[in-house]
Amino acid sequence: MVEDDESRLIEEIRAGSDTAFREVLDHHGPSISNYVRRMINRHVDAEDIVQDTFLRFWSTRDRYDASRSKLTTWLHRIAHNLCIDSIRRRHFDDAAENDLEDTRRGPAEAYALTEQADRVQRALSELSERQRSAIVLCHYQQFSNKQAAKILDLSVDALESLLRRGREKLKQFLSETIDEP
Amino acid sequence: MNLERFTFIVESYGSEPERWPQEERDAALAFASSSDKAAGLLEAETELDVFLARFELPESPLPTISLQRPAIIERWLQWLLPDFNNLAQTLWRPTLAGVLPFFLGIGISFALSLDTDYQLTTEEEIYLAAMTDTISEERFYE
Repeated sequence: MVEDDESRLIEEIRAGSDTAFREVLDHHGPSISNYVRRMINRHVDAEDIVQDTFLRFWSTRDRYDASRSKLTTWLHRIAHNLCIDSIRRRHFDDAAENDLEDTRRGPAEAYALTEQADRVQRALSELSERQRSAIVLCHYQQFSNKQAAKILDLSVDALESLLRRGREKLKQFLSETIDEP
Repeated sequence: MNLERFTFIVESYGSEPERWPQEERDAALAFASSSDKAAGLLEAETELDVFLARFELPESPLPTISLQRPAIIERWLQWLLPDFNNLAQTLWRPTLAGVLPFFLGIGISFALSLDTDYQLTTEEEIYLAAMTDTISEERFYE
């Protein structure tokens, strides 16, 4: 999306335009959806987070300052915060939901992932939430180190440390599960 | 660029140069082509990049979102109350709301004061006189 178009859309959204909001959803929705689905294993949760990301953007649209960050960075920041909330809430709920989990578990089923993709997702699940975010943002979402650091509210040095430790852990996972399909 | 920094870049961002920090990319590429150790490092990271590339997602339909519209009173309040980031341009709204009743009162009283042509009928005058208790008893029995 050209910068001028984005500025125009933001102005229209501030004025309450549904149409401009739909345009932003159409343009940025797939990218946000991919980010969230790589962060969150459960299909239902991921869908809710994508929806909440755009609703939160709508309700806080007056706070977005286009001169300070790109819209995609802002949306990813919202999505990231919601993912972290969801992951942490999931940790608390896990004990209570063990039975339910058995029937809903399985990212491969939920997203119809290939076995290989499922294996990568399991490997990413082994990482801390911040390491996972850093890798998903830089590797899959193609953000520059500065943009990714902004989304995660970190310095570039801290981001690089997260990336390095995350990749180290993934290599370890790869070597330990080399015989698995 | 030295081996230490190159190692850190590759171990953080992987083997694909397009993911390396833009400001160091050219120097890192030049270093990679001139160092055997650098080539070995890149090869070691390639395996993980190939592994990560397998995580492809199927297309997913976008969620349908129904936007919540604030109630009329809420929208009016949003309009009325100033945006503190833009106080100079929005302060006129509460000021206008404050002085509006004052001007409205002046307008109404001005309109009423002009309405002096009406003459009471005799019956109306007697009726109004009967409502008052200003006539003294002495005058009443005269």
